[in-house]
Amino acid sequence: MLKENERLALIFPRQLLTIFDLYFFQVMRRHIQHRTYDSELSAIAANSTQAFNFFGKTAPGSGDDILEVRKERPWTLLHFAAGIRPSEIWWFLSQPAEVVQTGWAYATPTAVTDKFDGVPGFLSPYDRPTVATEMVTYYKSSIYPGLRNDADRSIRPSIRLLGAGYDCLQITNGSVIDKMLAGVKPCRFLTVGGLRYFTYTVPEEWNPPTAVDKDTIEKVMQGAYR
Amino acid sequence: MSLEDITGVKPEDCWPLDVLVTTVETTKANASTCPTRKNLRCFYFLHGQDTSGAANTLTIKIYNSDDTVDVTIVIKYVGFDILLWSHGNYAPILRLKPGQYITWTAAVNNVQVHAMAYDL
Repeated sequence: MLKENERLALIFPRQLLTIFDLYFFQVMRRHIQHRTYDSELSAIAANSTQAFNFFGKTAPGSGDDILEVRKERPWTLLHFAAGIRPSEIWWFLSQPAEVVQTGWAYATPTAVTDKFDGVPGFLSPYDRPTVATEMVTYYKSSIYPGLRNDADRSIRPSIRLLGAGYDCLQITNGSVIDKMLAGVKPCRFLTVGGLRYFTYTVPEEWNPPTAVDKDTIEKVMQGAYR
Repeated sequence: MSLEDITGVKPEDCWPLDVLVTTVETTKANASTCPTRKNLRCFYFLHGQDTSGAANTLTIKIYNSDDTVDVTIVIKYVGFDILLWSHGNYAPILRLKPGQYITWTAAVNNVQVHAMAYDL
């Protein structure tokens, strides 16, 4: 979770593994966001899956939960993680909702039923959500989580979303951006939906992104400039 | 120390197993079986009470997936005895490897068993 005056950059692929769009922000104000889902969730049968339908999968601004990014959007960004209970519940994520996430399953679409690319609950405990389930979202984005019960008994899971809403100032000054890319000024770089190409949308009030080449992104993501 | 400190397992990851043990051995279909995608099924607590009032025995068998017996444990009861079996600190008292299953049989009806377990 970032504090006031800290900076972050969202990375989106513009062209398959060659050019990336980066949006730089400075956190001006933050507000803790916390929500638990207990009785709202139904039991998942042994070794079965369930969609976690609380982010408005079908369209931005639609859905059934307060943590969804509403059209009024009091926060530029929501940055949070999911705590999972019990440990045998796995967390799967697609962001944007329609974009297949790939990791170990590079060559095949990742599904909520996969044994890989999910996060087991013990890696992000209910009481202490971790970076393993870190998510960033904003108006016009969508997140589609899914749950899988890895146990051989029926389990009603509990999920805790803990994070913050950020009021942000977009950084457009080229000199400042260059310093962040070079690691002179600290900045947290975050991918949204992975680095393989997909179509993304951002709020209309955001300024145009900064195009960054693959080599620079690789160095940034490898932490060479930290 | 807590369960989580020792095993990484949290209390909510444990579940109870209640069996009214009769003179007929538990069938494989109804037995508690360690899933093959797990490493171990650990029982860390067992409470068993004879309800017959007679001298009794409780036979616990752990079978391999090919139905051969791996472990047999026989516990003798005087009538209405209570067996409490735990090593403390959540250390397993019975462990099932993937595919193994556990059955229960009493010499006389009945022994009421209550166990607690977790999977790793």
